Amino acid sequence: MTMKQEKKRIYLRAALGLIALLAVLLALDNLSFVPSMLLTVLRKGAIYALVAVSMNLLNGFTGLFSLGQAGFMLLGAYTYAILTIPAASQKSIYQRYANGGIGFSIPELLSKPLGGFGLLLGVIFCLILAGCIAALFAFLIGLPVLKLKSDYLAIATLGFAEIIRAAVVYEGFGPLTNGSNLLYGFTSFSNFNITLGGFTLHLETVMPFLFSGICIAIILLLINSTYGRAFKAIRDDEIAAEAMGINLASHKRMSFIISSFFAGISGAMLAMYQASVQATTFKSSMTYEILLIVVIGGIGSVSGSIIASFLFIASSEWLLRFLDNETWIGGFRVPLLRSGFRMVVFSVIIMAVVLFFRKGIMGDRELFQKKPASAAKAAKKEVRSK
Amino acid sequence: MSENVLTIENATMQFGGVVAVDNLNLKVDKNQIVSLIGPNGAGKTTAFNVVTGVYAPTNGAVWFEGRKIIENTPHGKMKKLYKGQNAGQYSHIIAPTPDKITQMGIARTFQNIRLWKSQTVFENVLIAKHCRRSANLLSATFRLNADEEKRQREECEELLKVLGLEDVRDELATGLPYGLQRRVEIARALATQPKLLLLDEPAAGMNPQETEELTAFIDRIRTDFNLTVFMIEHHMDLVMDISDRVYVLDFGRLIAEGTPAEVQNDPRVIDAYLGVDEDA
Amino acid sequence: MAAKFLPYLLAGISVGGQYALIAIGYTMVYGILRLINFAHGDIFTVAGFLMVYATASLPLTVSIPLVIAATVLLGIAVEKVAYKPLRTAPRMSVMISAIGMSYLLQNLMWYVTGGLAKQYPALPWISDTVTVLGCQTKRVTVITPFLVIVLVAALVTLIQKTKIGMAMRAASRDFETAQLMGIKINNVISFTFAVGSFLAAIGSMMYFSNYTAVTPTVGAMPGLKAFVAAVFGGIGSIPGAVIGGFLIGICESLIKGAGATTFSDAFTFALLIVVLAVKPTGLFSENLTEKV
Repeated sequence: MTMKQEKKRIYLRAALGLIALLAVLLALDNLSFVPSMLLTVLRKGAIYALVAVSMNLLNGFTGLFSLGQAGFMLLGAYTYAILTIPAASQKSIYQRYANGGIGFSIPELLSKPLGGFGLLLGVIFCLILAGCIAALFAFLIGLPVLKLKSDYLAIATLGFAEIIRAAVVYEGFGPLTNGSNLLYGFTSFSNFNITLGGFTLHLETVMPFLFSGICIAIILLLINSTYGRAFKAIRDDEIAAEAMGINLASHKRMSFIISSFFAGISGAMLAMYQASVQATTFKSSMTYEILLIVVIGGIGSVSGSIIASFLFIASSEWLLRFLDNETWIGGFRVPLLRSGFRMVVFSVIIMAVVLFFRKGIMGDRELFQKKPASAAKAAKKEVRSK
Repeated sequence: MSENVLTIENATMQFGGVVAVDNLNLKVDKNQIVSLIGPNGAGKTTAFNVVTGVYAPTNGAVWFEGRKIIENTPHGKMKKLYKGQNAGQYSHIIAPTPDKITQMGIARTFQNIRLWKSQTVFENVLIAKHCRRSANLLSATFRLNADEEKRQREECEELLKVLGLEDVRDELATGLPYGLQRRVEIARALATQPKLLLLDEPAAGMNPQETEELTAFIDRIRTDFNLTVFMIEHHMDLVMDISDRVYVLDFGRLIAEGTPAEVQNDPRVIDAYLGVDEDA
Repeated sequence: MAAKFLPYLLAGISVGGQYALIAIGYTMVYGILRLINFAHGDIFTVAGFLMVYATASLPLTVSIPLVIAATVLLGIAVEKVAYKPLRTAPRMSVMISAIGMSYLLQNLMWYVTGGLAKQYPALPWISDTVTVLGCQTKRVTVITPFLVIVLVAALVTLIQKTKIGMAMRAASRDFETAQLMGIKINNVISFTFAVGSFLAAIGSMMYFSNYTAVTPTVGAMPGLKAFVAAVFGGIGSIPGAVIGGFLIGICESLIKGAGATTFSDAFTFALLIVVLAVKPTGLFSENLTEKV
């Protein structure tokens, strides 16, 4: 029974840690001297962490090399935006289309009778729906595509993401998607405030962490379940997995759909963060970025993906910014520094990771793993030396 | 009377112009150990692949426990032509995927060991239990299947103990010595709770002493797990020691069958196989 | 009706030829390394930029061979830096390296050019306007298909008749055995990248004579489409890549002509998916199955 007690203690610690984290975030949200860049990094990082983990589930844990992530994010983002634009502002946003917009907004409908709670409920509902739409498309796309082998799968999913992007801006769908124009004005993270007396608490950073955290926790639970183990078996050896009674088609489909579901949610959250959506954001280069995050973090490591997401966003949005500015030290102009240099340095770093640190930050281990895989490897060496 | 477990009926497997298995007929009875032998390239592994659903045969059928589980007839391709008349007779193609076959109760090992390389011995065995789950995706993710999970883990621990693998439980399976890896593969196959176990060259790469151990081991698991064993093997000592029945394949064709003694004395076998290359 | 579509058909043949030239680079590299060289589209773009900068200070007679030579060197360099160290790594790692290389080249171009579109120089004679069957077009449109055929014929001769060509065929059939037989595999691979980049450089001259704005990401789409063309024809097969290139170019152009410009890109990928679903290894290649 000590096992059970220990487990309880771990859960208790984890819960306390989470509460502490949320409290810190809440403080950051509401203290005026906090640099806004830090908040940007935290918010965007949390969203990227979710999509990176969802991609890792597919590429790292199931071994399906798919490059459709941006497409599924786009579906999620549009679904969310369309459903949450306030009815009153739909006319002006969809000005190019006579009967544009859906004429209602789900958070609005729910917040009328239920107040702030209704708003939250509406947003959660729309986020889940965004995931479901992405998952539905994943199901349909998966039918022809999942039979393909590694690189063909990659190129086919990449192609599908492009098709989705082309279809969204199609004039025929304009009344729904606003064609190639922006969608904006929908419920975003900045709409979450708690008013106590005359005092307002902002939750702009707390919310993305909360949503991403819950989603990542679910993915973790899945990875450690019997299905997650089956995914890993498929990754390690498809033929052996099939011979041991694992249905390849259905398990690959499952992994693909779940990954897309969470990509859809993260897309919706990205829309909330940016407060506007446009199809051109979700290019294949976005998928590449997410893939590179996964690689830097370590293919097959959830905590690695999370760490890498924050690192990636921090360095691209904040830490390496100085590289883009012309800098003078006394009368000396620091060479090379000008617009665009940041991304060059950045991609060189990424190439260095890909070439020389192929395992990334975490390899296939997790941050708080009790028995790291390296112990098993050490044991293996011992056996060999015998 | 022993009851029949596996029957291969007129199975032919053709790849382009190559006939790898040619009109093979074969029977395996319950609790027997039956061996399939023959020179390299005789089509033995192909026959296994047909039984386990890796390839759909170009002709023939496979019966398992009195049920036709795999079937293909050349007329099957003429399905459309025969529509309406004789439909049932000619349009019957049964080609389940390997995972379905495993779920029916046929498990296998591989000639070139195929363990999951990033998983420990225990995990390798536990994953094989996946096909016996009752939990669906949601109940497994949200841990509503804790009882089943616990039971399966215990079964795996037990299995490792019985097979003498508990010492290497937490080691990466592919880091083990060759003989142990083969044993883990057998453990993994047993975890799927098979009635029929197919072993593809279980003694490949083993020295005489290891082979002897393996012989006892196979004999033991047959009784312990109430199994029927069908194996491909090159080590004649092993085959002749424990087989109840031996089938000899050459160039895809069955050239002899019978008890080990009968086969050993069959001139055709000696010509095709034993006489030419004694310890292949 | 025919008069309306003729210009689109001509444009389609021309752009198809350009896709074909890029597709050959993809298909040859894939044939030997089993790698989608994601950076190939960017090499094509770099060739475009090099031309812009070269012609600014040098006469055409110097800058054209210079640009071709520089592109070839870049192709070889990309292979040496990004793919050679990963020769024994899993395929996924190499593919990721290719994506990283593409990312690096794009960012590098952005840095050097400041992210602004550059005007491609007008090449004399081939950028001139001519009238074909009553419709006006640039001469490059008419020349491209013939040039492609000449180049492909030369390439096929090279592969069939020369020693290095034989080595390339051997390497694409069986990489390891070719190595064991004493073929200097690294030279073969470098040569393959050189040929691919050479064709990409030619392709970029044709392409940008038609679409004269060069931006850092302009090569991504034609690159992807050329890859689709290579897959369509059965990757590893040079005639397949050429046929695929022309087919995709023509279809895409006709779709634009029919007024569905938004879907011309989507069509390419839809075609890819249909082909892969029906014949997963492309139209002109053999099926390979893993041995159990």
